[in-house]
Amino acid sequence: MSCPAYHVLISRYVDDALDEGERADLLLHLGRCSSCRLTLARYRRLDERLRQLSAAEAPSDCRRVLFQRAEAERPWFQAIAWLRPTTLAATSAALAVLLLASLLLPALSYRFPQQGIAIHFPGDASRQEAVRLTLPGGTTRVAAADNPEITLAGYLPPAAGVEHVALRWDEAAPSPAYVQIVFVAPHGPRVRFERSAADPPSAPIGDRMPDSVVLVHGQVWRYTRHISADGVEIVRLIRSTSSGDIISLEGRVPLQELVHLIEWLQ
Amino acid sequence: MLNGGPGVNEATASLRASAELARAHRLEELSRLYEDFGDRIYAHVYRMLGNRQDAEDVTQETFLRALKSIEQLRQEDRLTSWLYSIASNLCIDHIRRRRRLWWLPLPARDGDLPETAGSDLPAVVENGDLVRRALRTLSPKDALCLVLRTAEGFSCTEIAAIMGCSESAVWSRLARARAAFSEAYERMARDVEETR
Repeated sequence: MSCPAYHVLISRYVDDALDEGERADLLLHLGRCSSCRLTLARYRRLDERLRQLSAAEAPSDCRRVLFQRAEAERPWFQAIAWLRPTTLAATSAALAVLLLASLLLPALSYRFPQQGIAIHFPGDASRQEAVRLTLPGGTTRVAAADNPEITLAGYLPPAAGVEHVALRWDEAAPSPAYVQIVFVAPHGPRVRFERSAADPPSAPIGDRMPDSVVLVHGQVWRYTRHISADGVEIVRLIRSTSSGDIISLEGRVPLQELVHLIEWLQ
Repeated sequence: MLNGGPGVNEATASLRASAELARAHRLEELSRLYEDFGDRIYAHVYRMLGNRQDAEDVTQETFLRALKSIEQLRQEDRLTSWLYSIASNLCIDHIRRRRRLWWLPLPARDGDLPETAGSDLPAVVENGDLVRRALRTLSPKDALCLVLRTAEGFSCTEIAAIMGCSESAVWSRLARARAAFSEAYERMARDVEETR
């Protein structure tokens, strides 16, 4: 048996899952093969590292948010039983637009730290979830069916602040071609968020952009961009700390999104 | 729209009463589930995703989905593997969907950075982050299998129930995952050393 085949036995040996014959065969091989002995040692060492993989405790408000979501997703007959006619009328009306929040790329979670609202685009996921809004006090999911018109997966209580959602989805696209969301930010004005798939590419394919510097919260970051083999722009921020560590943030997202990430982490 | 004669009002009141009972039962069931499994599921999801906000969201989604289909669970003793199965599938979906965005944790101020002494890597770089980065090079199912076995301590039989596969498939996946994880981790550890 070759060494790669013995690696399979070594993996089960680490899990104490070999029968007597297999164990004897492996131990005989380990007595002769230093490479496999190193593999065994490496598997045991890395298993220990995995056992130390940190597990966090659920935050205290996780339960509260869970129950709020459970309330928001109650069956339709329960929702109707609590509705007042005036609430239905107000919710169904389209509201005036006051502000443009931002433009996002697919598969990105964007958080407004001041307002506690996040908008998430799953990107190339199934069509069952086009947009998810995380609002103060809970998460509400909005789904788009294969039809290009809007579909609300669940009743959105007015208290959540979402007043109108419109989606247009082109069949061939991995994400909605057009999204508009109007919602009321807590302690703030109504916000319109819009995203269109018609955004022009930000850099010609094949070119590498010159490095530049970005200042974020008094820290100097080196900023680079390049186009990947599949034609996607990759943005990177790199900083060397005073103690010699190199910290790098990279993503297929606009620079501003990485800057926001730095701000969230501060 | 809900206004009408006495008959309509009585029907509405009856509907509300039924809905209230169903709501109370539903919330009680959810409370029981979360009290018994909330911390464990969150810990598992956090190990898989490495991000607190994502872990919160997926944990909540796990229990909401469990609540919707708990009547279909016939055997109470399968509750643990069933919940882990829901959570794990949601983690896999999440991993597959999100774009690659890696970062090392930033301290609030430069002065908070861990001390580095000689050839020792900072603990945060050596262990948690390298482990997570190496795990991310694996397929989501291989990473799940490895985490369930090593970090969570599930047996092969339990992992097979969670992942919905045979025990021989679990052993094969573990062997593949260990080999791939080992190769990725060692390579990344060398890269970190070279950039210092």
